[in-house]
Amino acid sequence: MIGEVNRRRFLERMAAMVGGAGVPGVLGGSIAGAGRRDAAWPGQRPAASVGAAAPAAQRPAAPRIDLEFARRTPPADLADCTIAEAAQLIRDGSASAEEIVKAYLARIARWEPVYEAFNTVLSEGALEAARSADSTAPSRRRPLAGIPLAIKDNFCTAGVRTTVNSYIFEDFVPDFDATAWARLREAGAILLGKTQMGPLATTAATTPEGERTTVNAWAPYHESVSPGGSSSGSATAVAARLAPCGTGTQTGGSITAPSNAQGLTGIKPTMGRVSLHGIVPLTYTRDHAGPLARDAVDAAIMLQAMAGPDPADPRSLGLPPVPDYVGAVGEAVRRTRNRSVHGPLEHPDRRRPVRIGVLPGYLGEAESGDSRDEPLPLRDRLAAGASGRPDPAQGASGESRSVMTMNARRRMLGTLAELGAEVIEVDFPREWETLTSREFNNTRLPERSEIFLEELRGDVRKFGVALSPWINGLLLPGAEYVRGSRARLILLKEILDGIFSQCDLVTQTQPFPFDIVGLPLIAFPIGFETDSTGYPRPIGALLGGEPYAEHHLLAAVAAYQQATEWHRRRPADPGSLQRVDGGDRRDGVRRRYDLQDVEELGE
Amino acid sequence: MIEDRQGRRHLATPAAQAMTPSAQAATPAAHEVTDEELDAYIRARLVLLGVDLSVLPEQDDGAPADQARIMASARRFLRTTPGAIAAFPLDALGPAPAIYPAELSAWTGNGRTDP
Repeated sequence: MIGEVNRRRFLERMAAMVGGAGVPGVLGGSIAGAGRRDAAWPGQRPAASVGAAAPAAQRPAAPRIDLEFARRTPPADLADCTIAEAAQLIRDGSASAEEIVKAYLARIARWEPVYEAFNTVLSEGALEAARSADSTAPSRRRPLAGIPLAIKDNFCTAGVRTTVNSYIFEDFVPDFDATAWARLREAGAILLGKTQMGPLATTAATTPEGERTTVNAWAPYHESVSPGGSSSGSATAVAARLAPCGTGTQTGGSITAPSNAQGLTGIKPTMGRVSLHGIVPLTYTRDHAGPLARDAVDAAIMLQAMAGPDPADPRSLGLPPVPDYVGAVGEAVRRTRNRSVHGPLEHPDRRRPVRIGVLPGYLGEAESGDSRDEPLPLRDRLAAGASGRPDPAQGASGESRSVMTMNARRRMLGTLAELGAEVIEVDFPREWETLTSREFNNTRLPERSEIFLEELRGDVRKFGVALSPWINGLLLPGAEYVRGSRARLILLKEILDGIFSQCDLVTQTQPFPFDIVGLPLIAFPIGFETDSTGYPRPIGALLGGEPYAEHHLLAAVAAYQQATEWHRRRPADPGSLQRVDGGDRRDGVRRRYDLQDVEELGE
Repeated sequence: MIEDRQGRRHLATPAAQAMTPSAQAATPAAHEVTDEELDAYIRARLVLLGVDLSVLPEQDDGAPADQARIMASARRFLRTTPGAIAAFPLDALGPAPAIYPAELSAWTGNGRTDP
């Protein structure tokens, strides 16, 4: 009997997946069927019903979420607010949603020609939605009421062009919302615009032919400074204060790389935690959706809205309940502020100090010189730079980028140790180098080729500068694909047994290993450097976590950000930036990616 | 039989037993295959799938893609990736090819996250 019920549910899910129409073949159908809702927003309706939002008067009273822990003196410029700050201002009546949206639209009008962060800006629609939010009784406002968002242009948005920066989708206007965006909208968020990306989510943002578009908000005129990809437009929009927060997708670093490149906090959740239904796929097994935010609190707020089971995406079903992310970061913030009362930074579930594992080489031991020397104990190596407070001299001393990065990492770990975390050394799991190599990473390529097989058979020119990986994916035989897929399970087992038997969170230097196995990864700023361009540039860090442990990652970074200020730094507006020698866009320089760049740098 | 870190024993084929992790590199023979042989292989495979590269210019560095660069990339790929993956030894009764590792950890209870 149980088997029969499960089989029926399985068939219903499959029917929901294939039941839609009116979108290209690579996408599923409309959101169908009501899903069980995990913790997320209490009172939020299931994603299945968001396609046709109910009139505000018919909605149940929206619960308030506790953001008091995030309260601080609001910035003078509304466009400088985090989501938490903007939500507080709206609740307090200190600012209206319309004023907040107008603040962002004003910056977009002034600076978008320089940043090129957006494919589409929905000025009128955003203002109309903001006025609607303002006219809703405060007791019925939803958690993200009036918050404008920058949505990556591979999320389907009903009635709004979704181009994926590709010829294949250049005229595509979906008739439904991707579940992740539908959930944000249902939580009250406003669609401010669709953001630029690498073609089909490959490299940093370019036109389909490879001409670079979006620039890094910290060095907008310097062509050698990448904005990070492929969620380049979302990252630049958030960093440049064109939007308070954005969404991205990650197959090989596309949330965490642009977050690190632009001083943001981005989280790639565990595979399945956020539904991929309605997001144009790059692969089936490696794509993830998540937020690019200004800090860990905002990332938690966004993920709370985006996460949860979706009948239209079987990968999201049968997983542990969605934790209370906002509660986890709130607890971390309170503990950090009152350490004398609450004690050290604790693991949210295990009620002991959180353990952070440091993999060999993370602090540059291999570069330290004489290998005959006994390495110093980890504690001594961290002690030199424990304070995470901004150091005015940092980056001005002529240190190389790698030295500045190592020092920033040392300070970051020292700060977390000061907060009570246990920082320990852990070894690489067995077979790490092999199973995370480029060759094993290539196991993903046949998936992207299969997804777009009709387009490949139709006209390969539609892939523009990104064509090579799609052709190469056609050349990996089934036996190797299956073996590569089995090898990923070996890698997962080695990570769980070899790393997470010793620690709760682990340092990473590349996103690929955790992308390959679908484990969560968070990116956050840990310092700044000034390189030869003369522009200050963020230094970022990555921490990985256990399956569905996003709340652990968010809590640790929220605590770190209570003790540091890196995440509060904002890039200067383009108008005030000095011209640099060579590669300045104002001289008409506009770089292109070629086929090999996409192959080398791509997802 | 192969014994894992937890002391569990698995069946392995004789060939898998004979291979060590250091056998992961692509086979030396892969480098002995000529460009012409690889080109024939690539073109035959694409023809069988109905994928036509001839719509691209033969060689034009200014174009987003051309046949010469696509073929060069494909040759590099074939000389490295299939051989490296094929050379990785796996237990015949080892993990079934579940393609979603993280979810598998939840579905099978092997994930370590507390509820």
